[in-house]
Amino acid sequence: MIRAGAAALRAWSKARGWAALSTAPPAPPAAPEPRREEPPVPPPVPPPVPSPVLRSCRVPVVPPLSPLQAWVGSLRHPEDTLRGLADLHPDVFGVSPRLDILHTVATWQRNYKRISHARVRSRAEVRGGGRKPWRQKGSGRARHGSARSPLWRGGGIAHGPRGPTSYFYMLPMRVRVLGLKVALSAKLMQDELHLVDSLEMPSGDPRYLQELARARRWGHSVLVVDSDEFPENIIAAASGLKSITLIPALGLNVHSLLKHQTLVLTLGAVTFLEQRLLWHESRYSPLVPFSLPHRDPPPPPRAA
Amino acid sequence: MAAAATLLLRAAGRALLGRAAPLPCAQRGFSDCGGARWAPARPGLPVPLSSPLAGLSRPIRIKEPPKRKPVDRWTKKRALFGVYDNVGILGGFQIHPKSLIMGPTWLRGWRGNELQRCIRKKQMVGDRMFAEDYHKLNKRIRYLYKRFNRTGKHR
Repeated sequence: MIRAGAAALRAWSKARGWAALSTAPPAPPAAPEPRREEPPVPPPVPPPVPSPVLRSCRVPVVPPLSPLQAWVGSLRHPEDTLRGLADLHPDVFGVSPRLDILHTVATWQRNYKRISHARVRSRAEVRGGGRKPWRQKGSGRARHGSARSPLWRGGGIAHGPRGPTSYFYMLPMRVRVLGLKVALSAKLMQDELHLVDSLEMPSGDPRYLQELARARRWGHSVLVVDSDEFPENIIAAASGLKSITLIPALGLNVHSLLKHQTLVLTLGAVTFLEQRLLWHESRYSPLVPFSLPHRDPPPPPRAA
Repeated sequence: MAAAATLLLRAAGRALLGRAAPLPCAQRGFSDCGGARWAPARPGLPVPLSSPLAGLSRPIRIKEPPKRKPVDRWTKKRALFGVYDNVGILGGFQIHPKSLIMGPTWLRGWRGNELQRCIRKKQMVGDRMFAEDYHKLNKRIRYLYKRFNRTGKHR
């Protein structure tokens, strides 16, 4: 009992103890120490969003037609596909799909530069055959005048291919221009046309370009067209790949458009093509060849 | 009873087949099997039983059409075919696509029938041809002139 009491006394004194017995007013609680303030962490700043790339038609679009639109991407990153919007002229990228014109122009491209060198010798050119083989009558054999006639073995060919033959012809200029317009319209209609603000690439590795084409689902073959010079990276990348071709805008043609599945145009190439292809709608006929300097027709008078 | 009937049927069939030994080839679609006859199919043959070659005593050789050699459609020449064909339209008309044609001088950007080609060749290249070739060319021009202008319906 005394030990228990001593233990209780010890516990009591460990607590507030004698202070609980004093009658003085309790001291006000001590003010909390000011915490050491850390410099405020600024919220994470998002990367600056570049202003969108917008392109309008240089050649005015006459109503009721309205320009077609397409997304503009870039090649800097495989997922950088939505950089801006471009307006496309409907008379170049929105003509009706004339498949017969495509066939005509593609056939022309195949044949106009064909020169066939097939040649066989006629009976006059084969060596020999000047003498009559046997007399006309009395030998019992058929009558012959030359041992190199087409009937004989080793003789000349009567109606064979003769000499280098050319298959050259030219289609009317407007048909070839319309062929280009139809091909471009077909590419846009079938979602195989992609616009790009510039052809800059982060590396010249062919694998990067292949990976980009696969990620964006461009297809087996890509035709890349630019009106200015190509940057070195894309030249190096495309030279390592067989089915990705770079051509200047001067070299655009229906056969290449049909051969490659996807077309990638820069905005400069679009401007160039629109200007060159739309000129033919309002030109004079060539009384003098167009290679000579000529004047364009005056603009139509605007209604006052 | 039924078993006896089927046995009889089978025996009759075997006898018929043994005597007649019809060529199975006529039914199977090829003209002559090269002497092979129908024999009971043995299991473990290399040919499945459903094919026309099943059950023959001697394997017939069937000739397949020759395989096409693989063609690379993306060589430099094929990938770049047709480039610059529109250099006139797109390039300000300074170059005509006929100046891009590779070939004999007298045929670049020009087309004609055989007589016209021979005459043009003689005009453009005749003075530097070999003597025998020049002589043959003259003979050909003479022959074609007579053929086109003196024979036939159109003269």
